[in-house]
Amino acid sequence: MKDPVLKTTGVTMKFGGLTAVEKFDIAVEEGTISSLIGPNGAGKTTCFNIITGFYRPTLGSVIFMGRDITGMKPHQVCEAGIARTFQNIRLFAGGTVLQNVMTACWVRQKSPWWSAPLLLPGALREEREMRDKSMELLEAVDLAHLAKEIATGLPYGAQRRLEIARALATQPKFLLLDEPAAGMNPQESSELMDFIRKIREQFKITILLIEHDMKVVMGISEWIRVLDYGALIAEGTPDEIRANPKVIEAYLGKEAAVYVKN
Amino acid sequence: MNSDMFIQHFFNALMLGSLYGLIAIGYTMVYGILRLINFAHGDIFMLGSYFVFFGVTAFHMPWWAAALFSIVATAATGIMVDRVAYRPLREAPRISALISAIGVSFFIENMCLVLFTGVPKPMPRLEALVQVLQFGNIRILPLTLIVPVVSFLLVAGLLWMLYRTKPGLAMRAISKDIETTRLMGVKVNRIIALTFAIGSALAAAAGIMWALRYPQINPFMGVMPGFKAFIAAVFGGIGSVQGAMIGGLILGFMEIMIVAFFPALSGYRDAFAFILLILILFVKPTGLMGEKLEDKI
Amino acid sequence: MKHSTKIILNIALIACFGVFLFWAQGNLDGYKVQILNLIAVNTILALSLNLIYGYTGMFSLGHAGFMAIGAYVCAILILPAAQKEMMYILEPVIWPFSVMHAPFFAAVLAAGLVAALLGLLIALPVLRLGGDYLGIATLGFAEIIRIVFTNITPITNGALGLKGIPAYANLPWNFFWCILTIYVIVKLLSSNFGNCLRAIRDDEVAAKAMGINTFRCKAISFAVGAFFAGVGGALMGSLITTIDPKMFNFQLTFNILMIVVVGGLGSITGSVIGAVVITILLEWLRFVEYTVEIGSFVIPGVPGMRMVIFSLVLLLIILYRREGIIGGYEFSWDDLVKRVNARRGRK
Repeated sequence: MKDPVLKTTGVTMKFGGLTAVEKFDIAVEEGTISSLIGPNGAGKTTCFNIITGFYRPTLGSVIFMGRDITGMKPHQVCEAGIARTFQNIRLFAGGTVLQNVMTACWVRQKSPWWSAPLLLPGALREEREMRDKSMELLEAVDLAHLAKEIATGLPYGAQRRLEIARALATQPKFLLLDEPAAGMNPQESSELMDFIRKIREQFKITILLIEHDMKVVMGISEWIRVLDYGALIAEGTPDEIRANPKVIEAYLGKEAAVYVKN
Repeated sequence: MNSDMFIQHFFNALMLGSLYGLIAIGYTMVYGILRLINFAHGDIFMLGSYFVFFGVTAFHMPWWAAALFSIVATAATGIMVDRVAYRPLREAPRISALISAIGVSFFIENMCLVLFTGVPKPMPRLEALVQVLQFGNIRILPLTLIVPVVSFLLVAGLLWMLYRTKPGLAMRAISKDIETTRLMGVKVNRIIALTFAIGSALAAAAGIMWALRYPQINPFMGVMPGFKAFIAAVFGGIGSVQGAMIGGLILGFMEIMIVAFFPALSGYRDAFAFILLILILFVKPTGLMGEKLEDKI
Repeated sequence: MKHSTKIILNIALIACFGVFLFWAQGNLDGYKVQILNLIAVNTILALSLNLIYGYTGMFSLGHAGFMAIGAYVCAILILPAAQKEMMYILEPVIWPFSVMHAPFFAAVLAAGLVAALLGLLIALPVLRLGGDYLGIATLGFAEIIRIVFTNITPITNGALGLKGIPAYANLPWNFFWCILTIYVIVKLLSSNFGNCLRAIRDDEVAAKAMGINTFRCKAISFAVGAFFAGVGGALMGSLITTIDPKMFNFQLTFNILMIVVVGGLGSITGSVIGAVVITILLEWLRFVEYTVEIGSFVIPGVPGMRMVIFSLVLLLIILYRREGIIGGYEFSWDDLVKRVNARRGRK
């Protein structure tokens, strides 16, 4: 087996007396699409926040491509190659679609901030290149024709795609999607699945998503992990998860699990 | 420094501190509920002084009536400020309301400058309170002893109201979650108006006592005490009434004692509070008794 | 429109403006020239505050402090040594401040740099704070600076202030700095760095997740803003030739904040227009504060009336027109051409 691209060991997060996540151990293989599921309040977003550096775990470590990123600042994690989207879309409200994507190019930008007023040719060239690359990305998510619109004026589904495009602009190796299908109708979510598969191929990235829509989860994931009350209770292929009584219990309660078994 | 001097400084600090505390409560209550630094609160305090001054001099009221008039008029002004300048901005970005508050502050100061001129008004002396008492070598004004007592009684009354009455419960509920409280059928705007009224009334009480102790009233007298009281509120943990009082006392003691022990630093007297503010914000932004507010991701 | 065309248009605009200034210098009376000078200085100050607050979302109330630093640094550098010797009557001026001297350009530059350095120093502890707390902390710093300047008499001449500062800040100098400020800030904001600043303003959490070192960007924005505030203070000092610590009180910050809010947050055009409008209004309304005699009529002046009117203006804008008087419009040649064409089309 190859070395996993992301590996967490014994990650535990306590807020005061409350343990939000306990002994979270995962190893994500390169190039896969996998999901993290679980009932509301199970600690899924907390795990994302730990991986992306928004929380520093109380215990445990996060290793990304052989490098310990535990306790790094969010922007350093992003620089290391992990990008994310948010459960409730967080676009830069005042900016245009293109500006949103360009902003995310900053992390790879070489020219320093003061180069613009000095009209350094290198900086001007880089700025042009970034603009072109951002347009290509928008092309890929089918938003190029809206490049000059204000980002938050887009329809909901387009905002989701834009948020993903923005994350891709940081040139990640690993993409975390927090409920990408939330609020989508079946038609849209099936398009989203194709879209996620497409970007994996095109950008050669590994994808981990949190999702409640079981059709999406089962349809797209190669591997599923289930979180309940902050602890991993199961992992496996979609078929294994579907048949796992512990998972059914977590979602529907004990009685339902017994009922399903019989 | 001998012990007699120290005792005098102690009581002066206690008095100044409790006045800061009274003003600080207005900041802390409004911030706790609306997350708004009521920049005009120092000027409300100043209005309290002017109202009692005019009550006594222009309307020839007895002292108790003038004080009552001042408290009622100041509370009404507080409610009006909220109604006109803050309520329309409840849904706006928070800083808009703060800018509005800064505008109100300048408006009140300069309106007073226009109406009453910048010449300080001499507050009439209330002889019973400012006749020096002599205990051995210690010389103390009765006022110095009365101010802390009155302040503590007022705070005790406020705490009783907050924790034992229905409007108090509503106030505490709003500071936790304004939307849910609204859904529970509480008339939120009315409770907010009440909060402004109480904060302003306490500021008026402080203004009356301040004017008796430092009997020169001018339109800008509220600026520095206002800043300092705000700092006291932050120090005590914004949102907490007890904290505001404790913060006020600590600030009063610091100011008086540093100047008393290190007279060379007296030129920096007004800077202490600001240095303290920056230290608190750096070390423990939630203050002594405040709760932690975190951004949800 | 082609990029080169725009550059030519910009140069042409600046040249026309230069001709106007040349004409103004020779033909307008001293009072009007002074107003033009103040417009230039206020534009610099408003833009620097707009960069910090309007574009980066950091509510700073410390502008008067940076201006004070700029004004003092510049004044001490351009005052002749002999004059300093005579002026410091409370305590003699100490070395090296007694002998420091620099040409005006270098002095203004130094004023900006010292203010920027101090801005960075202030940024370290306070930029972690959000919103209103940041405002109060920066206000606190400005007050501390003022109190310190009142007390370090051997350097600043204490409460007496500095008098007879050489009046080098004439129309060409002021507008040179004004146009430089506009240029630098426009260039910074239209580059990708500007996108980052706006991103931090709009959603700091998302900005962090997109790999932006938000603390660093905020510190840079704050320091650049402080630099131009220092420059503005330096020019202001040389323009009115007398400075003292009392002058740099919160009122000064209020005036600049008003220009920015009236012109519109996050609008360069707004800040420029706001500076013109507010400066003229501030001067024009002076008459309400002075006693005016018309024949045998005497209209007594009302001190404070000017600020009553101004605080009301600020309140009305923030309550009813938060996007500013020009509604967030931003001037560009492309837009102008579009408008002209649209008008032609209608005819």
